[in-house]
Amino acid sequence: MTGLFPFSLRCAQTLLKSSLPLILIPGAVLFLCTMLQGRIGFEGLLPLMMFSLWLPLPLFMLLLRRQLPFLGPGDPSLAWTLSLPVPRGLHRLFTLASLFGVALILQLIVSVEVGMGIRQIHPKQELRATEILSPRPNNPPLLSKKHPIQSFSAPRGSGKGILSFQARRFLFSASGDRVRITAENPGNPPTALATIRVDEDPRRMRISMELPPKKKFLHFQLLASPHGPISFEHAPVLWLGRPLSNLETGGLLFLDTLPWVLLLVFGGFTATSFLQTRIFGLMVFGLALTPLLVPSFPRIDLAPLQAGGIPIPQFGLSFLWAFVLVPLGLFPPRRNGGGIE
Amino acid sequence: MGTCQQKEVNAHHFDHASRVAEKPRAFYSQLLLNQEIENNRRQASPAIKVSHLGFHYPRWFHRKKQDFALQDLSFCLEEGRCLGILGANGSGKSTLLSCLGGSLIPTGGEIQWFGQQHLSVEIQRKIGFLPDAELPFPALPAGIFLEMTARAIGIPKKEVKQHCEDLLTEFGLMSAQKRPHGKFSKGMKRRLGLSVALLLNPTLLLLDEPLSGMDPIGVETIRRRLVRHKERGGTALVSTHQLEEIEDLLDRIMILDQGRIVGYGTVHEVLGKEGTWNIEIADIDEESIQNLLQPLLEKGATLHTFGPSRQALGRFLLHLHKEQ
Repeated sequence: MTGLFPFSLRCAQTLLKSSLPLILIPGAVLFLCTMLQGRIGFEGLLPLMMFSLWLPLPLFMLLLRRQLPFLGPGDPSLAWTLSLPVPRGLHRLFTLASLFGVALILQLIVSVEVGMGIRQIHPKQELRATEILSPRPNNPPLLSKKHPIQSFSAPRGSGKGILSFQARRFLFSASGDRVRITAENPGNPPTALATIRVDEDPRRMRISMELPPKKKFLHFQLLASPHGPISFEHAPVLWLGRPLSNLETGGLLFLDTLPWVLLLVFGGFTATSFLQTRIFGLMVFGLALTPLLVPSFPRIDLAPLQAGGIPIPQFGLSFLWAFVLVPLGLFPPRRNGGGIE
Repeated sequence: MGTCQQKEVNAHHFDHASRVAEKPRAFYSQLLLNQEIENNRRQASPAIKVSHLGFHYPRWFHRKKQDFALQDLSFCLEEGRCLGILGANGSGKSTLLSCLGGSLIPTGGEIQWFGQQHLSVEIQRKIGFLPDAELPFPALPAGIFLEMTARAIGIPKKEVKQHCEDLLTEFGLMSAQKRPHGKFSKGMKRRLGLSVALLLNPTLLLLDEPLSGMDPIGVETIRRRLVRHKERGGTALVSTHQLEEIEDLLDRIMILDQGRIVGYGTVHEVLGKEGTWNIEIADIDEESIQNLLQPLLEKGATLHTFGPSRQALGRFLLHLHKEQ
């Protein structure tokens, strides 16, 4: 079994070598963004920069069949691999390990580059770790005199930070509404953090505050509303924590894309065992579009990015489903001389 | 065809043995010894037994009858024997070898390897398969590629280097071991493929076109290896278009056409029926050979070719190589 380590290392070396040009993609996109910076604003350039976070891995997976031409039906070296007296599942496991390792390295490098790129095109050239505060399920839809309080989960981090609001789903009637923000730990009296006058454009509202540790909830309480009820419903409330270094930014982006990387690598590898190269390419791009096609799939929301924050991933153990694909990927390639064309 | 063929072969053997017994003992002592060895071979268990083997390549939208690459193949190859597979392009030679090597799963029939229906890793370790496939990692130097493969298939680390060097030397690749094997010529790639197939000193060799793209030196190397393999009691199944190069090593040949067996037996039995013969005569001048041929032509024989032997070029190159 240990004899397969050198083989695995060779696979990794070959894949790493072939994937090196792909790390130029974010650089090229950043160059393009810099050229367009005067004409298009940060919000317009951001999707372009994020595209360079998305593109390299599917391209890497496309290179896979060319670089390791023994993974599936129709591959020119498949017969050679099958002729080796090695347990086929083990052989695939070692290949998968090398593929996964290289994919992680590639995505980490690309994430760091993209993080640097976003910082470069951001107006303040500062990025912060961001949490999206989730509303409590029993929140009233509107803040009114009858239902004056809405509650959100408190950020996991504490200390100095900035509370920011996303405009998209806010319904502010007009300026002049006053809202008090308090932090609460159940069983203890709430701590008042700030009182704000709601602006017409909530995107401009950035409330600097110091959050005490071990708080469970943030409450938004309507104090006075000359214009009637206002809505916080489904509004992403962002907590922008401390500023991040380039490496930390890249690390967070990398963790944000991890479920997607797992799906693409393990799903793609499983697909190699029964798909011909051409259809495999389509499959890879289909998998790569999963975050768009499956709304519940963990993905990077653009809202925090637009506020200059890199979201802290909150997938917990939810990505463990990806590891179900590992045993499926160990099935040896179809040996019917064809595979799905 | 397998067991039936064996009965046929055994019957022929007894007939021959009774005729031999009438002759003086001294004269036939060596022959009887040879026959004993031959008997032992015949009694040996089959290395490969194929029954009603069928294979067709999948077609997703239309499945025609002519898509069958192999149809109802049955034969038996006893241990210690060497079988040549001949046939035109697309006749099913490579498909048959791929089925036997385990890289294709037959769509019908059954294969037994050393009496086992399942091609386990243990059985695979007894088989050296040279498929008609590209080797991966073309940028890797040949020596490192061979060592990596040797490690992967479980050869102990301390033995790998020496073993690989021996094989590279045997197949004339020692001087090229540091070159990326992707830049090798076709013949050199085949030699490297053979080295891989022989890493575990297998008892059964499945060689798909081993002579393809080989120069006379390479052909001679493979010939020598096959001779040694046979002397050790090894079994071999070789598909080739260059029968003349190894025909003396083959106990039987099998001719395939459109996935079916259309001829099976010794070279003499199968090709002799065609009434066409090939003789090679050495150390004689052109006038004498013309005189020798005259009676044959008078008897109505047709002369297809006449000229210096084509194999002479091979021998000349081999001689040159040995001198170097």
